[in-house]
Amino acid sequence: MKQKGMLDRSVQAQIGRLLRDIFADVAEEPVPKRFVELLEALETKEKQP
Amino acid sequence: MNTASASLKDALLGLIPNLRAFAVSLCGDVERADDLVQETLLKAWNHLDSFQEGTNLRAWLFTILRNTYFSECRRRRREVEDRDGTKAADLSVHPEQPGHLDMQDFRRALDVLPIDQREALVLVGAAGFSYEEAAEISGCAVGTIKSRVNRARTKLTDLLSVSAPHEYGPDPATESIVAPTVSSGMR
Repeated sequence: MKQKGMLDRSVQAQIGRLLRDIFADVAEEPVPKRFVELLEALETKEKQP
Repeated sequence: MNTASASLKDALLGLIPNLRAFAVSLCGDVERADDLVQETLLKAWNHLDSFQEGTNLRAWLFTILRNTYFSECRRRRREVEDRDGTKAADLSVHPEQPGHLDMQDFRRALDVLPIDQREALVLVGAAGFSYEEAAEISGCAVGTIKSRVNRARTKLTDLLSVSAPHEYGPDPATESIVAPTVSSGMR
């Protein structure tokens, strides 16, 4: 029983780490060009009378 | 107005990576995620009047994104049902090495969770929001977020934990250390 509890704690720690890792996997990618262009277009439109 | 647009643009640019990560966790598909992010950015830009200066822009964007995703899902109902855990029975996510979880195993396990649980777990456990912020983003009570997170963790533990009784013992690496040197025939 104690071993099972320890396994669960270890699994929980791994879950936390993996969760952050898979999120970071995408979050650390550079901003795709399409979004840079979108925002620049929106900003340009805003500046027009 | 120029300064406001420039700083909004910069603020949004800075948040796009996080938004993409959240979008991918919701729909599992980078292309669809990026379309979702695009819609979110447009809505945010066009509805800036409803954003309160000084409040959490990141949380606001996450809210727009998840609301957009869920209303799209209601239109495409079949996809929500598919991702709602009905595939759980077919999916084998037991890791090949007992006690070792890799990102692939984990991604598959995460995808098996019902969407509300996955969303709550990602908001709190990966995107770094507080339970209160996650509750606001998801439009539910703090208690609801907590129970979703607990259920998600329990489900993931079930999916990813080794299940056979002998695997609760020492792994082969430690076994060779703890076993007496005479019994080399154990392997």
